[in-house]
Amino acid sequence: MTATVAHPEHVRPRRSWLPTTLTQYLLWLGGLVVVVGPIVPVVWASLWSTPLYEAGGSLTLANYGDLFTDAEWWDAVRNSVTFAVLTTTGAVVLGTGMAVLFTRTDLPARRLFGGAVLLPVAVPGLPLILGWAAIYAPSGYVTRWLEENTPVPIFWDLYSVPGMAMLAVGIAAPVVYLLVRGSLTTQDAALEQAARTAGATPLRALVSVTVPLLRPALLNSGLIVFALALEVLGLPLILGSSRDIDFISTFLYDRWLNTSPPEQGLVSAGAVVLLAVVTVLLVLRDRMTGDAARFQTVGGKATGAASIELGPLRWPLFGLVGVYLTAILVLPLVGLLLTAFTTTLTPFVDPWTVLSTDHFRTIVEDEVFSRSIRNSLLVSVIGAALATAAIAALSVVAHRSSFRHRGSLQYVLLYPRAMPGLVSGMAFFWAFVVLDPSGRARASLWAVGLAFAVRSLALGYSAFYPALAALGEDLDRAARTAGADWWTSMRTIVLRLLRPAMAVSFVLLFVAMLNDYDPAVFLVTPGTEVMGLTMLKLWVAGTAGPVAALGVIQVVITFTVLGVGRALFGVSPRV
Amino acid sequence: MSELTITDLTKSFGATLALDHVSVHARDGELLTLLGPSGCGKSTTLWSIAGLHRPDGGRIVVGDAVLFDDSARVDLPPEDRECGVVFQSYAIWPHMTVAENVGYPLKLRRQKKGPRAARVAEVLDLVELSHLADRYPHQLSGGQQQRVALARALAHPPRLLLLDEPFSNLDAKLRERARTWLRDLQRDVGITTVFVTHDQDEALSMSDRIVVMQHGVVRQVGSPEEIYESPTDLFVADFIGTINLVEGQVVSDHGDCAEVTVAGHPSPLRATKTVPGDLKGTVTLAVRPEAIVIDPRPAAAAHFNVLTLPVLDRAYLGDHVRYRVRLGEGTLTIQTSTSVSGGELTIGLPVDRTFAFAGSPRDA
Repeated sequence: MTATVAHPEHVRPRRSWLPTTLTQYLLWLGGLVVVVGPIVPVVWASLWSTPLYEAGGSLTLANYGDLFTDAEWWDAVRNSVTFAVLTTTGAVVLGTGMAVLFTRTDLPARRLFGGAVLLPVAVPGLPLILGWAAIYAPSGYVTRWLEENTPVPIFWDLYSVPGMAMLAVGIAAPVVYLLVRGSLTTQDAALEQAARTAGATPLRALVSVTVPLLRPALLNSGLIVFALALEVLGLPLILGSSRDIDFISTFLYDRWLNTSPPEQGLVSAGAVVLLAVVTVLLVLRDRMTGDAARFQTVGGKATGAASIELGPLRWPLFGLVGVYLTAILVLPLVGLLLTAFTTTLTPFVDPWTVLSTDHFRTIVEDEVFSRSIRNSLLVSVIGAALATAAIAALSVVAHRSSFRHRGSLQYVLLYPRAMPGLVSGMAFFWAFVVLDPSGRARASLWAVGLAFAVRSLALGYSAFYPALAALGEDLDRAARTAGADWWTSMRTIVLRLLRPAMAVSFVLLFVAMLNDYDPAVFLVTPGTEVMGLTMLKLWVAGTAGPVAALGVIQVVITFTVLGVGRALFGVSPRV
Repeated sequence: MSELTITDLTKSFGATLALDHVSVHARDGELLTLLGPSGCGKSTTLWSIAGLHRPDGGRIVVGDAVLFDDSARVDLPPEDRECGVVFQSYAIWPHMTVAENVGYPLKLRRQKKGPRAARVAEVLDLVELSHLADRYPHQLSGGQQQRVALARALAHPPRLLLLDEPFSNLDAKLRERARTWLRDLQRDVGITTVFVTHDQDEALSMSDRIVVMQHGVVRQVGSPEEIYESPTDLFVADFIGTINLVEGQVVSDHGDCAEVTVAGHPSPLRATKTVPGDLKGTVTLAVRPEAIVIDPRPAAAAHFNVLTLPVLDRAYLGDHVRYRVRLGEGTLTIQTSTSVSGGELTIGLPVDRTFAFAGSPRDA
């Protein structure tokens, strides 16, 4: 033996202060408690004769009985389902069409369009709805202008179920577009080329080979859109309320907040029904598409597939896509801006003559508005940071450990996606009621932050997981054999190398939490308002200008953060 | 002292048995190679030693330390096993410099900065990478990365060095050099080493002893010469090098030697038995192409089966010539340096290098 091994003493390597198994159990339990835990009290509340904060009460099915005999509930269900069907159909047709058009044809500016069509995913939902209302509502700018100046008949009514579906299609089509494009670009170009060599024209090859192969992607995206459409709250609340069109969400919202005494048992029962339906839909989707599609990454990828020459249709189609994007995105955003910066917005008054920053001044001066912004930023920064840390820690337990129950963690991380925001808000409400009768925790901003963070777990996980999976396991194995215990090898190697993925996750979570509002409906107390909910409440109360100004601020923050995230870490939109 | 003793190691993945009562012993300071086709259980054995796979049963002991013992419920985590592992992918941490990679095991053991730097320098010197200490892994070639992995594995002197196909990512020329280099280094350091490979040249040229595995079973353990010259198992004979396999029937069994008839050939052939015990029924005769002698001297006829056989074809390969001749219903390949012409060839199959194994060639 030479001097090179003359280190006779075997020093025991440094150990983390918590034993590995205990660390893993604590993380697992923590995840389970915040994700699955809150569902227990909702179900309990739906089966209890009195609200959980009151003494007494007994087990009962009466809440479900009341719900199912309530004619308004069935009206709401009918509206929601009609809306969801219309939205899904429209989004699938449009999304697929655009995906094929932008990836497989020689459409002019297809690359630019391909990027622009994704913007509605990034634009916060409420400001976009406000913009649509300002432009396309019966009293909206474009509607009135067309009525006054052209013979074009107004064929839409934004305040109807099909009208709302029209808007929803604009927001949901990019979801379909992303998934279908992913499937199109990963398809082997040789399949289509084989059809070409067999004598098929490019169009024929596309229709008979490529499109049938898209079926899984269509089914997948269709189910997501349908599930999202069933639980949507902001849209019917803003656009449907003037005509008393109730969706499932607004029905629950009204019965909780605007009925005296509040029918909390019945609302809990409705929430449980909604949760069950959405869960079944998403489980169905996972069954049909498998794990691979769940983590579909969406990055532009060069494809060698033959492109179809559109011929004389080239420019007309270019025009059509241009008009579509202008109509669903550009005009509403302009509408939002004008509403925010003018005292009144109508075609009868030149907007330039009524320009003002009054609405923004209102925001600065009104305590509720400025507090909302502060609260929202606080919740998003701290919440996104904590949620990212939680996602990273839970992911390494789920995928990089020999922990006994690691398999269940993946579901814990993904389940929040199946939870409608309204339901998760109610779940946390009841959880706080049961655990903290003093109500102090519920009245703090932490309650809202926690609900937002849990809701966004699945989004962060879907951004984080591909990077984790791509990191070779030998790297942490090498650390283990070098003497590092599990947590040390995770901390010094795996999580250290995944910092960029954590940054991406943080950016996405920040934006999601900044723009989230439905879980806050049941949790907000004076002093803990967040931007989205303030906009919703004040709009319903009839205040347009300052709400639009708040929307502009939200859009600006969102785009700035996303832009910085894209420049620094390559953040891309995901569904 | 750090000898490795593996006893009755078993492991199954679902319905497949990856390790079937594997017992292996490595002497102190020895380079022991686990050799076999993919899926034979060699990597599973290595990872079980390192603690990266949990076997279902058995016992692993290094020196006086029990790493794993199913019956005594001992299962040390990898970090407590003191094994230096070089992974097939090298697994160099990309966010650390060469020196940081090598110093990591020492840092974990709270070694002070001064002694740590000294030790890192010492080990890097050993693998001839001192000049690259401050580089990052992406600035290194494959061969250099591999040496960093080795330096890291040796930094805190391990009880055992485990190498998982370390050369498979190197190009052919570099591989040759790396083998010699690693062999010399291992001898210098004198550390007990377990080496996993599917490359028989690598195994033959580097090992003190070789363990040949197939389907989770140890087929033969022996020095490279033993494994090549006297395989005790039909699979080993076929897996290592090139060998002629001819099916036959036992006519008589004389203890060490058996007489075997080959279908279509008139006289029986004498062959050496590889395992004691009676041999009967269908057997496989195995003889290496280079063991066959052309025109053996009549005086030595007792040591040979002398046959005159029709030549099927002849291939000139520079330093040797390869003939194919017809033996009964099959063929024999002969490798020789003498070039002969004519349609027939008189050859001698040396009795001591013609082996008889139970079973037909299809069982190989």
